[in-house]
Amino acid sequence: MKSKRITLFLLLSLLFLSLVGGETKYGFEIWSRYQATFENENEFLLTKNQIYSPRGYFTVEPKLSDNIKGRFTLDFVSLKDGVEGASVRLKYAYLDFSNLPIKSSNINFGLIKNYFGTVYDYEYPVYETELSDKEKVVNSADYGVSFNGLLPAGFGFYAFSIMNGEGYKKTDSSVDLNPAFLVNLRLIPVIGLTVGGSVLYEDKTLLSPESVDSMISDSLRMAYVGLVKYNFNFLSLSFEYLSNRIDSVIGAGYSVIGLIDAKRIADIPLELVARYDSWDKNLDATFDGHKRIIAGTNMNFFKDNGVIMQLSYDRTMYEDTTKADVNNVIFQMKWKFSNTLK
Amino acid sequence: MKKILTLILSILTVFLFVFPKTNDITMSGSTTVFPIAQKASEVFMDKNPSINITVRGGGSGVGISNLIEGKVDIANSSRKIKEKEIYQAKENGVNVFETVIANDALSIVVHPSNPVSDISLKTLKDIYTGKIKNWKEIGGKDMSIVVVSRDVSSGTFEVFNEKILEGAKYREDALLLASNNAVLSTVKDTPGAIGYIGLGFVNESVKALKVEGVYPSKESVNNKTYKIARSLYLYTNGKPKGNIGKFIDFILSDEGQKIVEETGYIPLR
Repeated sequence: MKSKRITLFLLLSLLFLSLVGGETKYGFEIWSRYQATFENENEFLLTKNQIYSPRGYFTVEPKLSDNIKGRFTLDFVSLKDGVEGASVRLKYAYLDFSNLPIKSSNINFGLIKNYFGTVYDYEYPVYETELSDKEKVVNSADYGVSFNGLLPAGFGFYAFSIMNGEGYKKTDSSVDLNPAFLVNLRLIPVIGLTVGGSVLYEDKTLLSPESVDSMISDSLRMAYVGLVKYNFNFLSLSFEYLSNRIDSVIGAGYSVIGLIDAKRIADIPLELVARYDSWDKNLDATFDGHKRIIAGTNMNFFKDNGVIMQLSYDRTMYEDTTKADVNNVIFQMKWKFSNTLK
Repeated sequence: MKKILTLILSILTVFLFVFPKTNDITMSGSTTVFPIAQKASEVFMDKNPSINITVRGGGSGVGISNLIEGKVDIANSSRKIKEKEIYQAKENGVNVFETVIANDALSIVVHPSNPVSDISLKTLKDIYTGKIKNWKEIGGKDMSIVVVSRDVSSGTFEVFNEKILEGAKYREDALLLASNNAVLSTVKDTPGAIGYIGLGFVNESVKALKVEGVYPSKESVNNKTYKIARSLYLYTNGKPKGNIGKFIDFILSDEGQKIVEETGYIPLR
């Protein structure tokens, strides 16, 4: 009941802001997916066969003044981890202040983008989420404040954030109040080549040192990511190394994505994409890692109209030999539209 | 892994033979630049029948975004590219190269029956921000002012925003229209309307106002007395080469600059 009231309040707030504000941009993005999951130990066994909508984003961006705009995104989920039913949650809700004394810089406040690694600008070349999101190291949005901007002449991007560090999915008592500190830097030394990295640090005893006495676990958290991206004509390559330390437990892994845009070399609007992930959530433990390979195509026949068809195959292979490999065949239609109203 | 690589390479090879990349040049963007691009491409294609040029509008922002995403060869723009767009382009491996092809006077137009003939920059700002709402306040008829503007993806909108409004907020009830032609048509049909369009779109169906006592014209732009002048741009990925280079050289040639003049804009020389 409480969540319904909150949702109603948010929707009414959005409506109010869109009425009193000036220029307002609206956007909708829906993903519809068919997924067949097979486990194969000795033979392929169909374990999941379903059609669902994993994502539906409704975004409103009211321009409140020339220097202040807002962004609200509601995330509709029709099915999550096999649990049926639909839910709606707030993904972004922040104010963006621009025209600051430092050129091309902004301050965001509220439920903001998490500028960690590539989680904030990942464009889903395959259906799967980006590595740090997938392995639950970070969420793509978090409560806090961020100062970010561009380096001169498009040489790079920087962000400094103080966030809650818990992401946007936790609520009420499961959210701790200790801040997490984030630094993100991306540089483009030559056109098409991006190098960068992010560090996220959180000391969960900072605001409540007494918790040390109660032997709270997970008190110190440090995650970092280093990335290299290269885009040249029809070829895009990216490599991301991710490490996540919680107290003395260190997890690490990497993700490599290669994409060929056939449109650049032949007259057909198709992308071929392959991704390889490796993740070990505790480097000191054995049999807790996995590797994942994803191959697929993105058919952009209607991309100008905001429609993309994705066809993917992925296979997750576990270090633990008692666990069967998991295979997925995914067909997904993504479509979106946006409009600016006065 | 080897099997996947082999499969990808095989598919690509098939594409290369079945759907070879053509000689086509694609361009999109500014509706202000559109008449120049369209006329120039027609003449150029007559001279080079093997080259096909597709010209689309959408607004300067759309054109630049298309160039960054590799969807077009040329972005037409009536404003300079922004720092954020340069960053996105560099990240995407696009080396943005700018070519100025013409100059333009942003023309303030009203209905032909409107007796007002001169307007100051401050008055213009006051009208567009809603401080002045009736023509009688500036010596015109007792008639409400209908504010007509371009939409937010337009380079013309951004130039007007920067040079006239200086960041101030538009009147709430301003009409935001998608093209110069739409603004022209609305002003032509609405006695109380005021709008702004590229010089090339001004015709006898509307009345162009003097700005600070100066008419928008080739002379007033060249001698820098007209206050809201601007350049028109083509953006490409790197210095234009091959057919794209040939086409842009054509626009910059005497013949191309004559087309610029014929379409109502101001040639570079």
